[in-house]
Amino acid sequence: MTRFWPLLLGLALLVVVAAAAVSTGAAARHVSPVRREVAVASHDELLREWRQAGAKGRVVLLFERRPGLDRWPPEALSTWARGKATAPATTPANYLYGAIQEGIVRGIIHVIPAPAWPAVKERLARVPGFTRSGPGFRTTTEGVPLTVVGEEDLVRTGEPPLVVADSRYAAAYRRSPRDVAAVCGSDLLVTLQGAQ
Amino acid sequence: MNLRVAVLGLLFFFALALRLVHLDAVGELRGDEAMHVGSAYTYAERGTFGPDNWYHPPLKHLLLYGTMKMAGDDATGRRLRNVLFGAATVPLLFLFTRRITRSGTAAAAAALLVATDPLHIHFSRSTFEDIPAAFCLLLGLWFVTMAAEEEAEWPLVAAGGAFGVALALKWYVAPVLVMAIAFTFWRRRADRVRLANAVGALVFLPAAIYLAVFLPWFSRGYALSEWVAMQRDAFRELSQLSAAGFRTALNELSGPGRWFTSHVAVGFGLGGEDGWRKLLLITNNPVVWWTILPALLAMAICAWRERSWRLLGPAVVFGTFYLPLLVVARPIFVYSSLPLLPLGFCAVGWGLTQAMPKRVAVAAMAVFVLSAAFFYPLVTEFPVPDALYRPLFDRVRIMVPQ
Repeated sequence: MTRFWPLLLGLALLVVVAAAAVSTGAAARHVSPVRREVAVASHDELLREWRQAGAKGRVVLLFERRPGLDRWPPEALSTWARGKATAPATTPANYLYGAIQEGIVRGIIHVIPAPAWPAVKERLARVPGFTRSGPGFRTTTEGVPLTVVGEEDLVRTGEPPLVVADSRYAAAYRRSPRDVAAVCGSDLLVTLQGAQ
Repeated sequence: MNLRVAVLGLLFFFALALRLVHLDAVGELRGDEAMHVGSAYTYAERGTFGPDNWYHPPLKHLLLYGTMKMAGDDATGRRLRNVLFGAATVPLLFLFTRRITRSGTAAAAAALLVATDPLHIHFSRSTFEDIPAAFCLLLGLWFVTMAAEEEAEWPLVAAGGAFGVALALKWYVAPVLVMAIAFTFWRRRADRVRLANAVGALVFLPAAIYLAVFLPWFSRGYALSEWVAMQRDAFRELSQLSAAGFRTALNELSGPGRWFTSHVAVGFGLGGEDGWRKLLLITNNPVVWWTILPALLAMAICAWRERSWRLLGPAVVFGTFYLPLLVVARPIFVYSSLPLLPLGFCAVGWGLTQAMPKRVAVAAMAVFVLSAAFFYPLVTEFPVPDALYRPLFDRVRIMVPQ
């Protein structure tokens, strides 16, 4: 066997690293054992709710008009990361980006109301950077996956997601976000009441 | 043995001195440094990829973060990673060329060329990851050559380690790794044990190292299947890049087809007075670079005649690395030539000592060193007399930093 030491060394290292990657990823996801529903008035409050719930490494199911994934300016991110400035202000346009930087969110599923889906689908097929992914489309923001999917095509997320619903658009959906959150086993449904 | 160590040490410290001089002339974050430094912090401390281009492998962030933690988040600490890898490339090229050509003189010539090359010096004083990637690629090639000539298995394991690190720095080394695997399999085809060991050393080991550098990313909750999807996303985004996404200044440096046949340069004006001018130049050294392709061709012809795989190696590796860059549709900037330089200089060193009269070789080497000396103040931000450099300034696009 010792004649095979380079083979065994390479194989053992690969197995150890893969096992470490799997266990690191699993250990980093934090789901609250208690199911909650809360209503907030702003995206700033929404982030506070997530922080208080101890959410980490989570997938977000989004019932909003737009995903708040606008990037912080590179200089702002750089100086914040170096501890030389505070984070830029949270806005509806960038709150998810902030949640990614904080390690709360690792993936986003943006749910589009069924009546709007055909038009959105047609438009996304022409937008550079979006690719077909199952029944929906996929893109990334700095490597973080964003899946856009019609509500009729929404399948199980495979894990309890954080759910965000904007009350102003709730009527556009055929299924209520509360039902979807229950089916997916979400531990936290946050409803935005009249957020700007 | 002692003489060899002395020569290697001399080469290292000579290259180190050339790269360290005036290193902190600009103390604040310069050019892409702000993105590189910010990404080093976000990745090492949080496992996120921004603000730098997220699709490149992340080992560069960890190395940069490490040197900043050791030497400080200042001009020296930020640039130290590249200074060290850049200086270490010089003695390594000496060893590589000596093994390839069996000539100490050719090795010394090659080492001197890379030590004084203006592009190599410029990027050895920056935070671009191409300098460590070039070093690790050369290290892997040196060990593969050693493994092909010796019975011991450790050089191949070392090669796998070096290639794994190189791959975790930049994807463009992948074709060379594939070529090294094919070459090693061919050399070992009659021995099943050694063939299996080659799989362990050159496939499993680099894969383990590559995966390991993503552990901070996994610490954000990702699963292995998501990693595979992310790698696909990264490849897709990288292959869809267009020139429009880059600053105009950098586009001047794009076009691999021109690297070894034209003068490729962009300057950043830093002011000046009383007939002296200061600027930071990104430039190849056309006097030396124009000899690279002919030298590689001559070396390959000689290798073919002598049926020598050793001499054929630099040309084949050069082609394996360079040809994909020529055909991809996205912009490729001149700093991607850095891994090619040691191979090119190996061939030039061989050509000087093996394929031409001694007097001509000495004269050529003198011209090479003088041309490097001409460019040196421009890549190290020393003021130069305007009158002497006017013909160059008139030909090069000079930007004003914002």
